[in-house]
Amino acid sequence: MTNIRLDAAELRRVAELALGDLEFDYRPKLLDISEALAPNADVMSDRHAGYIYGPGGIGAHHDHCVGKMIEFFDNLDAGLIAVTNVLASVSEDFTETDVDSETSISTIMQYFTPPPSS
Amino acid sequence: MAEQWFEGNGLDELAAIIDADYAQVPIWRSQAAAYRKLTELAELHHSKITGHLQRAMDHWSSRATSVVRYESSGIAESFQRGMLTASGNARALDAIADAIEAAKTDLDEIRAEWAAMKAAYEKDPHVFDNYAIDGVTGFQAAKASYDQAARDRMHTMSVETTQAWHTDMHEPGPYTGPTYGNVPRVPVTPSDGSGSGGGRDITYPFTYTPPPPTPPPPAAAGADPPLLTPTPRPPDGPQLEFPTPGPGPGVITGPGPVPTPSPVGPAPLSPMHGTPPPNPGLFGGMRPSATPGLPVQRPGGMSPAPAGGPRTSPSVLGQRPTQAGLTRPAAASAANDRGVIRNPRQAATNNAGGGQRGRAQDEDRYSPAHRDGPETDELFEGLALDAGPDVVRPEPPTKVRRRDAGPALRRVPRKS
Repeated sequence: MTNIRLDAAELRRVAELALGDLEFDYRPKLLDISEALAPNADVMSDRHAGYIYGPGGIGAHHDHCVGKMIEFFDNLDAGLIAVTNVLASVSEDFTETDVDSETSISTIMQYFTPPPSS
Repeated sequence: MAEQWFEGNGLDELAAIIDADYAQVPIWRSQAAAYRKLTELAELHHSKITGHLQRAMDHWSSRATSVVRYESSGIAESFQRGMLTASGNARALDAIADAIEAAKTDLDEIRAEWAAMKAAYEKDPHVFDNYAIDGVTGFQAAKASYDQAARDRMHTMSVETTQAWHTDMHEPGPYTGPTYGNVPRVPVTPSDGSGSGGGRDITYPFTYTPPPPTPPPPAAAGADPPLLTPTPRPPDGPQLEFPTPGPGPGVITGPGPVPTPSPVGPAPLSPMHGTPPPNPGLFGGMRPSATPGLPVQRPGGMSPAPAGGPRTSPSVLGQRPTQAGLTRPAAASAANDRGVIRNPRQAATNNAGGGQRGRAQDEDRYSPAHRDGPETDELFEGLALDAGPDVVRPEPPTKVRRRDAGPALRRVPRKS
């Protein structure tokens, strides 16, 4: 570790790169995967004739898992944006000179806390 | 429960069930492939975001970064769990599809066999006369046995699919990373990774502009581009050079030109390997190859020590010098005469200070600069005594009786 305290430009550049990976690579592929995981509407119509989607109960459980999985990765998407935003906000709010005196753990924790809804 | 549901169905009903399941196998296979893609995507993006965060932490040293590290660990843990869940669900769907396909194959065989039996029964109504099961006989007994075989096969299928479900098919669990981040005043523009960032740089007076990429040289028509561009070599070929040896340990230099590498020896490296990079931190710098000193070494092996040229001590080359290659002690100067066996009397006369000579040479001999190998005395042992006229032998003891002293010796003092 060098004596760098805060390189604001680099911090923002990292945020831009992370957001670029998220938007240009991660999200398009995740969208395709989500469409492939979603049950086919045609199958939904007659799936109860089979065992897996009938008395077996596996199909219903898998549909539930798919829904949770899509929700889970949506949350991951939100978390990645959250970290990106925090890095960009820190690069805006602090400079190399005041990073020691003004940034504290509680201060940065507030960056991850949503404001109270009015 | 499922097995009880099978009890009320015969072969035809179970065949219809397995057909309905089998129709969905391509979708399960597609979903399993999607899960595998999701696993790879999560692993890849987890690696990328980890690299980005590490880069950010390299440029932000503060106790407050522990908060970002903690929140990032939640993202990493969620990524890990998502990967495990997706890969597990892929395995489960593949196992279910395999079980359905196998059950479909077996039920098709049972159904075909029963159709053949029915056809035989239509031709000969007495075919099933000897059949009896559970109190029924004839055709009904035969049909009941095929229905039971179909139920048993469906039961096996249900066990396999249920086991795959309970073993590998799971929900990903709750997400444990951050869900909110303070929105910056200037929206972050996503970068495509070209190097100049995504948008306008508002926090630093300098914006890095990458140099224009150098186009590769045009390749010959039909030739594949080289995987590794060779490093340009000097005209004389690759030479690993050593720094100028100082008065260091274990190096005995002598007159003579710098030897050229022998044509016999390891072949030079191919141009693909290029010139080995210098390591000034290790040797303290490079020197021209014409400087006298250690023999020029070629990469890929050590050069053999040529006769008459400079040589190194055995500790360097790992071999003892031959007798022909030894430098005779007399050729050494007075300052380099350590180790020569001398007549003590001559040594006393040649060196000013008499007794100080031995002390000074002892200090020279035992100094750390000469501790890297055998002492020169050991190297010249047995050679220097018979070598040449410069080696001064100790004179034999003078016990010659003087005849002219005889009478005097025989003179007996007169007693007074």
